[in-house]
Amino acid sequence: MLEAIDLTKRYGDIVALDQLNLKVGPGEICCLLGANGAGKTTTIQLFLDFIPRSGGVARICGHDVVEEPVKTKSLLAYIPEVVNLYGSLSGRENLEYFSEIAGVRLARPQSDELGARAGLQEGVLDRPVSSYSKGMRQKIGIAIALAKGARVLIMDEPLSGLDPKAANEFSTLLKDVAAEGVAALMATHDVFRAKEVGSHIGIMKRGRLVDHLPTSDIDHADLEQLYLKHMHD
Amino acid sequence: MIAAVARKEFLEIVRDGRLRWLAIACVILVVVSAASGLQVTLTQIRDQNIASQVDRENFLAQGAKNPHAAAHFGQYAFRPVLLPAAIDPGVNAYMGSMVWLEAHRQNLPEFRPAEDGADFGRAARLSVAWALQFIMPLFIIVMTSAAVAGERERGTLALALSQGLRLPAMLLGKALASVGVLLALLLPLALLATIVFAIAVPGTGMHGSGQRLGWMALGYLLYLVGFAGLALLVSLLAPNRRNAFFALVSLWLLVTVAVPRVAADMAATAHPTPTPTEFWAAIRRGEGGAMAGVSAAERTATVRAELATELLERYEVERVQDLPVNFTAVLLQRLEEKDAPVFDHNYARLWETYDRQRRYQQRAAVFSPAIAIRGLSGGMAGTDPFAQQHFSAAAEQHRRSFITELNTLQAVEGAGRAFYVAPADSWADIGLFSYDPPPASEVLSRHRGDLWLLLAWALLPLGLAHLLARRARPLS
Repeated sequence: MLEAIDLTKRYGDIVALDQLNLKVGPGEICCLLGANGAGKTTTIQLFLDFIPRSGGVARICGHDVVEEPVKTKSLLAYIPEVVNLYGSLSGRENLEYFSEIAGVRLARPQSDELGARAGLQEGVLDRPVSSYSKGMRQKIGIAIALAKGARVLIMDEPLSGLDPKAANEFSTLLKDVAAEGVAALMATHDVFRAKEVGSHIGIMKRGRLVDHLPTSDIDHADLEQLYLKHMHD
Repeated sequence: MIAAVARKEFLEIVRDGRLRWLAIACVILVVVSAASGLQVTLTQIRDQNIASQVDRENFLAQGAKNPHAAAHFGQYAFRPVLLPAAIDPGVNAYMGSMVWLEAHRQNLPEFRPAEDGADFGRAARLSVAWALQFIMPLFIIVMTSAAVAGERERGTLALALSQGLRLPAMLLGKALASVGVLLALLLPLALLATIVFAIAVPGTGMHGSGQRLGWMALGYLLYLVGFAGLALLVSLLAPNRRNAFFALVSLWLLVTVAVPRVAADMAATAHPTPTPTEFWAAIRRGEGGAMAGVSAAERTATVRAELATELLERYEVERVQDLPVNFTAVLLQRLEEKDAPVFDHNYARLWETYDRQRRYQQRAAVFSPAIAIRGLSGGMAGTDPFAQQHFSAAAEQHRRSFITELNTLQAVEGAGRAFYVAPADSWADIGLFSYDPPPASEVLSRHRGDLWLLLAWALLPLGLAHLLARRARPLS
């Protein structure tokens, strides 16, 4: 459902992503671990066609993201590190707007249902987003993704800055979504959370995927050791 | 998708407290300007009606006198003030509002409102046209400069694009919202103004004012849409809100102030307007006439001798006293006819100079839509030099006609008399000045270039932004 073949990104002489080969199937959650500048965000931006690639191919459900940008956008949902919304609009208005531009018109009960599913308490949706905490914004981001019914979920550090409770709720929701057959790619620094939610772990270093393994094959401590080993090599 | 963006954008603009206050300030400015313009225009219309009535009564009540003395008593021709002048006073304050029509001489319009005092001048400068030409573009810049740059900076653009929103669609939605806000602000005002004008001045359609206002409204809409397009284009290209805003304010200054000012100065330098001294000296020299360079006394003597020979021969009499017409009256008429080409020549040169200045400035309108809208707006309001020229030509035509009537009266009734005194009731038969300003279609034909430029101005920045947006990766 989400596939990179020799995907490469160069900025002049600097190789930000070096021939990435990656495949995430339905129901799988692939967590990309790596230090800052390892190439995680570049990978995500290439899948979103936000930046031009230097080589290789990125596909969503078999469609090339560059050749068919409209089609691939309709199949994916994106949750950035900080879900930036329109502060003067309410959560509901934001949810309805971002859904409508994706071609989904939400009636009020549907917005309520999505808000509840994303973990937002009753009444919160009608408050201006300017009064929201980061966790609440992330939940609106999830509700937007849920509304779209996307088959691929791409997330860039979505847990960053969330309190443990919110992070836990997010992880649970993510696993629920994946259980419905959604393929998810998540960039994160959080080794613990990656092991907990991911079905696969990818470790990136200087633009290269240096390790890729199922989480079932490794426990928390070993994963941490492996990660640190790669970071110190 | 476009409608969703437009709705969201509209909602954001409406909820932005700073923009709300700015919009209120703009609306107050436009309302105050409109009220001030209307008050000034209504005063001018009322004063002209009174003055015109008094002048007519004076002419009729001058009593028994020689018709040539009546020709020197003269009449005043009043340039009608059109209703759209309340929106755009243009150069009205610096143009004469009436012409004194008398024998022997084609006068320039006189009695400029600007001469009536500093307070009047200030009031005239605060106009709806000024608010629409200078202030509303600034409001659009404040409202639209962050359209794309702000979304990019806030991070909402990434989320919107990941949802499948295409940048060109986003731009169109934002353009619609900007135009929607403008219409929401200005349409009720236009409606209110129409109602107030209709109540204040019976028959708002006088002199095609309705059509003229319609063309003005279209011109201003195109002008303001162009600024919205420019703001979107710059916002698309600028790395952040701050840069977009400062770039747009610089462009605003250039387009609305610097280029028109420089163009006007250059036009005046390239085609200098003659000073009043030069102008009247050329007329005194008889430039453009058959007897240029000959003194007035000599000219009169020559014409008198020629005419005497001609008439004595035609009527087969020995002395002018024996002619069946009053010789003096025929001579006066002949002198008028001899002088007419001199006035025609010199006034044509003066108007041609103004027209060359206008055309010179119109070329600069390629770099400044403010010049184009000023031309169209002033033209439709009847407050540009062309309105003056058109009125002057009609007034001169009437002058020649009424002087001919008086000379004919004396020529016929005064035959055989050394000095003829016409009865007091003779003046009622002399024609009145009646003037119809050019129809809106004629004004439009003069300003077609301005309208095309405004159309291009409205479409080009938006079109270019749309084109660039189709190719752009706004986050790379």
